[in-house]
Amino acid sequence: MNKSEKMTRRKLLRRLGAILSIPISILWIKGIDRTFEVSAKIKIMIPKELAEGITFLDKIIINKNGGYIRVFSSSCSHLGCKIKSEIDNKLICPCHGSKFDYEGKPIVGPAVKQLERIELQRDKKTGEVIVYV
Amino acid sequence: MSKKKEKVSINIYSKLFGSTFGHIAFASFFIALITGIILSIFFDINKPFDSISMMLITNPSASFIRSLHYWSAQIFLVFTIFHIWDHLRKSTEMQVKKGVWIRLSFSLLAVLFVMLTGFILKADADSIQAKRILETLLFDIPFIGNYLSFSLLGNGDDLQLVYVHHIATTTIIVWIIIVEHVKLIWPNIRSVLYFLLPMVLLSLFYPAALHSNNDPIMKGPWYFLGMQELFHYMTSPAIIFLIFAFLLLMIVYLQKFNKLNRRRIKYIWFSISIIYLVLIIIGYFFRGENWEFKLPWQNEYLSMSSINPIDNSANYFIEFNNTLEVPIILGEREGCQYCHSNMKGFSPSHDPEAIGCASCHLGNPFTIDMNLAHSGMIKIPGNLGTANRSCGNANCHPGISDRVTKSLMNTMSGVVSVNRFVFEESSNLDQLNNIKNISNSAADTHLRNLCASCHLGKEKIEYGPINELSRGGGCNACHLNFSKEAVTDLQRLSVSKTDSSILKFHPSLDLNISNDHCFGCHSRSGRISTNYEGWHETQLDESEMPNEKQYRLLKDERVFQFVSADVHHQRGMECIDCHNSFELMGDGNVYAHQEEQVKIKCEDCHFSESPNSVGSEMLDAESKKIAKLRSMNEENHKYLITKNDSIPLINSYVNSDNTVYMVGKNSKKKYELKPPNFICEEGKAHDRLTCNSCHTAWAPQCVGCHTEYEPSEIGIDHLTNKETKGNWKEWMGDFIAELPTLGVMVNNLGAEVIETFIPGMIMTLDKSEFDEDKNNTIFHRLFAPTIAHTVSAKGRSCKSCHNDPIAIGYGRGELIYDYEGSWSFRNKYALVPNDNLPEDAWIGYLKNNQGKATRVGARPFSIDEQKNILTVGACLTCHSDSSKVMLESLKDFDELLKRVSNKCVLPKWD
Repeated sequence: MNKSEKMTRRKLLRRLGAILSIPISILWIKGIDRTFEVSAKIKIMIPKELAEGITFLDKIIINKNGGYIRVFSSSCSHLGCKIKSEIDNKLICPCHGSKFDYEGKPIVGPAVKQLERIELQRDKKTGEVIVYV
Repeated sequence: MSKKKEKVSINIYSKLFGSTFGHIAFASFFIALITGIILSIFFDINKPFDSISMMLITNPSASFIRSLHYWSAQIFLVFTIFHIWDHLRKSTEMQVKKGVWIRLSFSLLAVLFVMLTGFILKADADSIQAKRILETLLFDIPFIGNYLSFSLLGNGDDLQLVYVHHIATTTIIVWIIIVEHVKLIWPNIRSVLYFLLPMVLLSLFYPAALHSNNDPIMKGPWYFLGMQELFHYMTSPAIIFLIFAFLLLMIVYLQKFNKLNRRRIKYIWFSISIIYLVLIIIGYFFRGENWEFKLPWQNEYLSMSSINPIDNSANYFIEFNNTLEVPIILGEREGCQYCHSNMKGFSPSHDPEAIGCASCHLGNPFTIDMNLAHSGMIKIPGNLGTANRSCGNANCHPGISDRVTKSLMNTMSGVVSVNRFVFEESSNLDQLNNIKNISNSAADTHLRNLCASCHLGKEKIEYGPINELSRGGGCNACHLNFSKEAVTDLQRLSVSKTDSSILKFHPSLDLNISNDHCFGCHSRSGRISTNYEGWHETQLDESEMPNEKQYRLLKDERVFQFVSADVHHQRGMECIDCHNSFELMGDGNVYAHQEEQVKIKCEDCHFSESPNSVGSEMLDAESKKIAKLRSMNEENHKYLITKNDSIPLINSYVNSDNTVYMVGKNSKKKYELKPPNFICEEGKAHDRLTCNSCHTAWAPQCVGCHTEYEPSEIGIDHLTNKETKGNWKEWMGDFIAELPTLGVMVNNLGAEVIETFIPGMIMTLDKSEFDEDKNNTIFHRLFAPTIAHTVSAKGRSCKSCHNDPIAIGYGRGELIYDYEGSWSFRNKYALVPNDNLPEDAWIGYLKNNQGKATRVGARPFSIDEQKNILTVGACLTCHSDSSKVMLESLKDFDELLKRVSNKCVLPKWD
């Protein structure tokens, strides 16, 4: 090392910072990944007595059409607001006015993607119809 | 730097009361910090929304600190922006070290984040939606999006991480940044003291509010409303991110540009800010429910949103009695029930324990101060003007208030269009109208003076039960029921308004819709309510009533006489036993006339083929709910459905052997549903007849009416409840209760049917006093289809149609058949000079269809039809109704004619 390139505290700290940022970022990302895995999905039971048409159940929207049941996430495909009302046979999002039909397809509004379809499953212990959200 | 130099350099910046914007921003930050620390004592991160609600309700000091914290934060944000503008104006960016400038620029993000986390922490519906939107936005950032979202906002519904970032992380960052670029640790004491005063005043008179679940509008914080507006137009928020990142980088690297470019960048930022400000104004004032555009004075939700100047300032000395409860209703504390506890008289679904008071009556549930609580309250919910905020709000009965508003009982569309037709102001009988929007023409003022109060949209402004004099009332018109105790309570209220705790009984909102609810309006016009019970209106005075058994006095002083009651009424059936929710509340469609909106037909219950039925699993949500509430949702219950629109009749039962019965909705009486008599369906001769045309015992008819305008009289405009100068008046001719006329119309399946008609109207109309310029008298001879609701078990006799001039449309008089084969008609009523027909006739004897009706496609009998009818009438002069010959004639009349004996005299038509 010659005099003009003397290691100053500032330079050392900067270099250390740059080098340490990599393991710290890795630790950060791994930590968050593991937490994602561990945090369980919520189980919601589909009620046995369902009316024809749309039922709102907080995080999900159920569409019963004859014998056929379809479940969607109530999270609007635009920016995630909770859809909890319908007007004129359309599901309507209160935040920016997106409208969806009963199949989850967007009709009007900033949303362009379909509402997320959630698969129906059977609870292994009780045999009831459930979904995971 | 010497003090003198510092003073000079500071003097070039803008000042407000001696403090620069920067100092004001710092002072506000400091006040926010201190109040925030105090507020954390009362705030519970485990139940954030609840702890804030309880602060507002029970703890005036804490609420004050919270408001102060809120206002100091908003002023911090506003003056930070002003401070930036001020410095950019003076181009001070070149006086700052590069590292400091970069950190300053990125600290804008920290400022934004501390404000947003503060907004999210109140955890009401707005905040939770905002958090979801922010999470979604962050997730959209490529590669590190979900990690960022998780690190900044935490996992799931827990606000703990948001709290930590708000009180520690961003606070420390912002303070360090301030210290770094101002070289001050503490704010200027003068700024703090000067600006504490306006903040305290704002907090006292404009307290920070909390979003109640009764408010359906989702709005972010005011500074974000511009973004909310932009989001509405952008399907992908990534664009916004990129633009925002680009603009931020322009500021970060501002120092690298030359003077001209820096100027340009600042102009761009300034213009964008102005546009953003306009968007904020639009987003705040011009947005209603579900993102509708609304003018501020039409925006009924504006008063419910965040900042609301209160009529009187809050009572900071209010005492809280902690032995009384502030219950949690539907996830939210309700202060109403602190004072109004234990009210009785509700139906189970509307009990305040289940839905609270504020969900119907609105007002402010987050307080126990009476004036604050009652501000914005709806005293009588259910009127259609406010129904979509109370009964029809998104959490309760959404869609129903909309359906009712579109239904005929609210729009009175047919009334308006036919009336205008009669007044010759319109030639379109099927035009869709709304009574709310009528003008001041002759026809429309006629309605205002005489008819306009009978629509559901008419506001109920007085407390009390629905009775004979009630008109309108929205949801209350049908669903409001006062018990005796509730009536007594109400009377006590009118005497002394002092103590609310004396009110213990509230009227009920339920499904016990009795005929009394329909009576007020439907004892008018077609008189369905009175007809059904057998009463016919006379022109007598109360003093002229001969007795009280055969005569009845209504509350509006009209005297009615008993004729004969509908057989369904005799058996104890009520209006709602036939008429269902989709007919009465509307099905969302807009109809022109009642026969389009009313779906039920006699044949839906009285049929001879096998029944159309559905099981309970096929019921729609509304029918299912009603069936459940009425305990008609038994297992394996099969319901009849209507032929029109397949509406399930929830009080009908189809047995496994295909027999059917019906149960009264309120009475629970059981009725076996009998098929029609064989004679109803025998042969083809009577195929076009509706059940009504034979089974209507009588219909109220009036002849010889005259309507005139009296300009000097004072009338009432029933739409606005104001007096009018000038009044339309009606003079009645004869009121008659007799068998109706028959005519032809097209039903809603497109088929031609024969239905009952009555004069509607045969009248002269004198418009001369209204349109002062001409001598304007109109004459009309119109018949209107009617469903009289006077059904008789036994149909009318053959001769009552075939040999009766009224039935065919000639008017009263004698139809004589001479045995040489000619029919002749001698009229009873005098001829009217306008068209030389008797006063009560529809058509002339064997004349060609001059008769007009109030429906497109409706008409009297054609000449051929008249001849056919009279030919059978000829047979009936000798053969009795039940003779073999007449019964055979139903099957194939033409064939029968070929076999007539030589004693028969058939009519000769020349």
